[in-house]
Amino acid sequence: MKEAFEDRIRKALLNESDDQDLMPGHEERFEMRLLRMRDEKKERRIPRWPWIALAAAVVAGFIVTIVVSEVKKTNEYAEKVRLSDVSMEMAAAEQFYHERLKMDMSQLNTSDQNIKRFLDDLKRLESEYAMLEEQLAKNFTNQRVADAMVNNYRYRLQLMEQLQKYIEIQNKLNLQNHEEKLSS
Amino acid sequence: MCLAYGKMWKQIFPAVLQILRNREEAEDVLQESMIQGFNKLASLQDDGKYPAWQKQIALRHALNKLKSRKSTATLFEDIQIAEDEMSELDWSNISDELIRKKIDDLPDGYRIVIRLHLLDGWSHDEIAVELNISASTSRSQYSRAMAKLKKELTEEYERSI
Repeated sequence: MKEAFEDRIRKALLNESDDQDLMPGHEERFEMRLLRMRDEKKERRIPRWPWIALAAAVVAGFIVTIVVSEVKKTNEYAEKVRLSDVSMEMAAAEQFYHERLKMDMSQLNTSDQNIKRFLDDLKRLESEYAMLEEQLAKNFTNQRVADAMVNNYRYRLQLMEQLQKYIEIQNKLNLQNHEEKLSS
Repeated sequence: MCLAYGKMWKQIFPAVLQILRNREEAEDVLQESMIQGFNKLASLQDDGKYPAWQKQIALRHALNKLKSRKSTATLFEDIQIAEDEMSELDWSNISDELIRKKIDDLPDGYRIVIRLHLLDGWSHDEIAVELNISASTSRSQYSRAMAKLKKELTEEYERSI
């Protein structure tokens, strides 16, 4: 039976991917772009999910406000202020964030440049947060420190969500790859 | 290279290359669109749709790139094809390479509607939105493109026998 014209054209176009290759150095250029983008992001830091960001900011803002006032009353000489040091409510709030930010990182494939980028960003934010805790202990009426802590929580939550989504997709593609190999 | 990139480029690159017909630009668009996709991952509701979603991003990038160097008006030249009586060939006798070469030789507008409608499954309404044309223009460009392609392939085949 003669093949319909459209079907024949479609088939010819579908087969084209087997003949394609990328220019040498493509992978290196892509990784350079990822790194450049990470540097740009550090400078810009614009929230991408307004609702999540807003909700996190409200919760974190509330916490920080209470922390500031509680710490002022109770802990004049601390070197570092932790939310859980303040009260049971604050400890619960901190736990809430810890639960959301908790993830087993040990099994992640760090040769993947995207995962490495996420992890580097998270580490950087964690160390920034530790510094902010110290600064807050020294000067707990400083609103800019409080704002920075709010932002820090927000960025970490965003990064974690993005990383989780990325890993889910990678796993699905892995599974798909495996199934394709089995069926071929 | 990360798995998503390694897996996706083979699906995306030919489409982008066919739209732009420039390897360097196509690789550039491939990279830009993959980065944009990674950055927007959190907005993707159904992970199973990632390949199609990522490809849509890349195709839109490619079309924007094309539009930046060519206006839509010049993209869709009004070429009249004399639709002579053509005998239906056994198309399986025509090689993939020849078909792809003839598609590559088509004017931009024709090549793009064939690509988007026939292979990537875009409706004429979707093509119209992306290219700032009407759906009926997209429809007529597609029929003319297919007629021209059929004519070219028939002539090529008849010359070879």
